[in-house]
Amino acid sequence: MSAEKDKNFEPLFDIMGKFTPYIYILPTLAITSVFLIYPFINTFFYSLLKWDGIGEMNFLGITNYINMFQDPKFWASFSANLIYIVMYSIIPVIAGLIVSSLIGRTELFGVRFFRTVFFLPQVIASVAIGIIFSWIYSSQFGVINQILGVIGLDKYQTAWFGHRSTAPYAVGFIGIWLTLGFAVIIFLSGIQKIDESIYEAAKIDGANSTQQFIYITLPELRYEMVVVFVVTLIRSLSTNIFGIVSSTTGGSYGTRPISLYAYELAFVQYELGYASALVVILVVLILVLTQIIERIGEGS
Amino acid sequence: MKRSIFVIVVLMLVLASIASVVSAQEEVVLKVWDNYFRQANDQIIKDAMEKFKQKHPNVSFQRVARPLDDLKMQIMAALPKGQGPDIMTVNNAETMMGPLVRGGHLLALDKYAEEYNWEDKILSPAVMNRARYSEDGTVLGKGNLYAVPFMGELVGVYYNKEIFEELDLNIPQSLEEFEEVLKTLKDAGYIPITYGGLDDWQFFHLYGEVLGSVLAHDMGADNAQEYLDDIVLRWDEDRSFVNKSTQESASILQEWVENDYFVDGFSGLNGDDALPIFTAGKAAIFIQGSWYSGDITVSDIEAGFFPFPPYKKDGKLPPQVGGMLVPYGISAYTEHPDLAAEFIDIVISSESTNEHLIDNNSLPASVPVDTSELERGTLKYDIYTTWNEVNDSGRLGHYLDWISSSMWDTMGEAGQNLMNLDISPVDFVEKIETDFRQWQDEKPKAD
Repeated sequence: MSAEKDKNFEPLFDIMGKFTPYIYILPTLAITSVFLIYPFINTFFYSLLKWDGIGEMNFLGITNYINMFQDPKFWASFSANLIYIVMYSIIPVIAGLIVSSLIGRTELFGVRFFRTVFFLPQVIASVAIGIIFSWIYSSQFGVINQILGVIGLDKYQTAWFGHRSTAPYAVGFIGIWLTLGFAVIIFLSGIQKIDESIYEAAKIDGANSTQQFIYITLPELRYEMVVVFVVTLIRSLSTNIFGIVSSTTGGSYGTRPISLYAYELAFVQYELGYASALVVILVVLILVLTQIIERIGEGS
Repeated sequence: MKRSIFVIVVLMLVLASIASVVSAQEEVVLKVWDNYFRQANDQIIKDAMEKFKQKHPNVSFQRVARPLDDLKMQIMAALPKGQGPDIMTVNNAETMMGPLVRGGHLLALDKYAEEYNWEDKILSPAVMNRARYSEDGTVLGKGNLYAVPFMGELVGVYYNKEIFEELDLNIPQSLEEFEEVLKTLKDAGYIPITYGGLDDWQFFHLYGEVLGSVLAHDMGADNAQEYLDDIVLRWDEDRSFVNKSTQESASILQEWVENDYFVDGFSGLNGDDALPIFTAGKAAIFIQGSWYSGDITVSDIEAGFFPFPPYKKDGKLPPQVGGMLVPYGISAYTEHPDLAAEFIDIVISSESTNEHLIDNNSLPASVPVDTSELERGTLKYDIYTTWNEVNDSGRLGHYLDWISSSMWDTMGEAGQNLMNLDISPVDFVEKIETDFRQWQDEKPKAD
């Protein structure tokens, strides 16, 4: 009876046999193709052209790529991105591991409150974050300079966004504030999955806190670390950084990332071909770095 | 029978004439895309549309008003396909107008300029040249007229009258006197100049004002204007940015920085941060554009405005930085070019346009402005008399970022480095020159 019933109610896709999984992924594949793969192929095609977006297309081959590597503005943007990778990704991951291991295995009073506080920056638009930090860093009205004045460190008061020596790091610090909470939340959830008996066994074997962190917590959190590294890396190269730099320094004083440079080339200077070459390199850079991170995560 | 035929013929004639009237009154929709979405300018366009509809009741408007950055992308995408608006704002030079002219997407307006007498009504002919391109779109500043503005812009010197009176300072008549004023202000404990160095364009205007004064001294006011026209508008390869005047102007700004004439931490302030330092009465001078006059008028300080002075006393008025608000152009694909041109003329010429502009301290493109009704000694009076003087003498200078398509980027960075004393005046002008030379290779050329 039951077998008969099952036969009667066999899902439609089951009759497709081995093709059934492809039916399920078809919608996602279609959306990805339309909104990611096709635009990327198109962008690569544009990167081989000299084109202002509306006029005649002139085929240049790889000239835009050659020009890019000789363009000091590209290298300045690349340098800014390296600083952002450190401050949006590497420092928050390290600091996040330390903070989460300190609070993750103790019964901290008000832990929910702290989680909310840590996560709060994630729900604020990057442009709003930029505006808030513009006020905090303001050379005339900013709270940082005021605090420095109050505690007698007037000589350190400066235009934080107004010098090459400070502006990229001032923008980078926003990244630490922004992504540290994200890292802590992910790592906390990972730590809570670790079986407490492993730590107890380590304690019996004489492992101290540092050894427990290195030999138990870190290996157990490798998948969480891959996730946090990949997400923050993408933020430091393209998504968050674009809005934050646009709404703070506007890209001045060595703060312009590759993504903002590409935008300005495309929509201010109408160098769509060259801008596309920058975007292609940015995408390749993200793909390569995320693959390296994933491989390291799997290997460990 | 004959009578019946006669009646039928009369009826047919009546019907035919009704049909022709109906077809003459065919409903027309004019699509207008512009960036005049702020209240004051928005009202100007709405009033002009109402006035136009009274004359042409069969015409209605479909208007999209959005920030220029958004609108620009939509226009640049739509026009090449023969789609988009009949009338739209077209930013000057290579940001929009050049590529659109080269693609044949803009209608030349010379016929209408003659019909509506725009050359006499609007700004000075030299200024109108900024909306001209050669027919192939390779030379800016001459050839066909492709757009017309209803509003102008002017950079000059705002000053705090109360501070000037307190320190017994007069409006400086020369660069030397201007620098004496700065020193007196500094010695008296005031911030001489407020300035937002984080915004690239603040530097273009500041440097442009000093450059105009130095150039006019070194080569004469007329030749200075010619030099600026050649290098900014015509991208003349025989001109160079490396010369005594450009370097001296850069040196002057560095001396002002070294003498602490600018607000502390100016490099980390943007234009909107710099303004309240002036309107709070902390800084005595703000060298900026007419677009700030509304905010300054409603502040608590009593302010005046004067053009940047000549290098030497009794010298001719030097070129003052300024130009036109993003002007209106007409699509080459419109089916109603005559109606579109008539609408633009109403926007430009209407009395209500000028009333709105003057109410908001904005500069009408239609000059001279009648100042007889304005109260002397007010900021409004100062600005309009300066505007008339600049237009009358043909001394409206240029926005220096027009020198090349990448000059905004290049001069913005070089200017910030200059003001932070990170590079020398020589390095500064060489960076501009390098960009200008590169533009000679890349600029649009005739086939």
